Amino acid sequence: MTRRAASTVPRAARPRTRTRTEPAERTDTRTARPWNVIVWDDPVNLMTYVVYVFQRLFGWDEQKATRHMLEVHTQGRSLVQSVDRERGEFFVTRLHGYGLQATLERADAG
Amino acid sequence: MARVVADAGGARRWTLHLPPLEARLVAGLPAQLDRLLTHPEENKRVIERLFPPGYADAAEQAEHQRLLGASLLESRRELLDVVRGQLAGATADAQGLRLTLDEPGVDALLRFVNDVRLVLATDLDIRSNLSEQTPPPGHPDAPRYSLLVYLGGLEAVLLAAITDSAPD
Repeated sequence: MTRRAASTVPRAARPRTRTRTEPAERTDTRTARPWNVIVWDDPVNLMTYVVYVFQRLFGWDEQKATRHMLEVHTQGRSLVQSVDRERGEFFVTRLHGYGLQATLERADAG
Repeated sequence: MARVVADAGGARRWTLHLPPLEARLVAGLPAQLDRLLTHPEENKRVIERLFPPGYADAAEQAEHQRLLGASLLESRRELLDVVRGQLAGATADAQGLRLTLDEPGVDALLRFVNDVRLVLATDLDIRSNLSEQTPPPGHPDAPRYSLLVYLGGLEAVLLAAITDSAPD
């Protein structure tokens, strides 16, 4: 990430038009087992932008958002959510919409 | 340089001032991004950066792409439409463009500017901090690099406005 200072932002997520297929149409078996949403480092996104996105999508305060941003920056990745699969896909899609690199993996994937 | 002024009265609205040269530059960006989205097969690296895999597992990713690929592309087009509307509704005069933005408007413009930066950085094959890859003056990549740096500044100004902080 490109270095910039962090700051606060109110939470007011913009409604999105979503036309995705409903989960019931999927062929796999959905379970309640937690899935991890991982955000990966990127050399282009501004640090302040990443903090902004975390606050906006997850409703985190500046301190928590900055901590995860720094984890991404210094360790290459940060686990930002452990949720059910559908919620995880929602977050990954939103993170991608903001240009962040994020993936979903099973919590027990090691 | 672009600047953002908060509207008086406490409402979360801002006016983005773009000097003439910057206004012309920014006004041409939606069409450029639209061309990339219209011909994804010709711009695979850039498209892969804008739409990165959501799963490391290939089978999971293929299913994810099958279910969501079209809607993800459509959401990017919707963002372009929002930005086009902002530019079309801007006030133009000798000082450039003035865009009046509410909070969702600033958020949309931020995402758009960031998308363009990701496209440029992918095209320039930026793999480390930007400051470490500055091309020398006269290098063929210098204009695109300059645009990338400029858009980073514009993004910082917008971020400072929406987060009520001073730009750094």
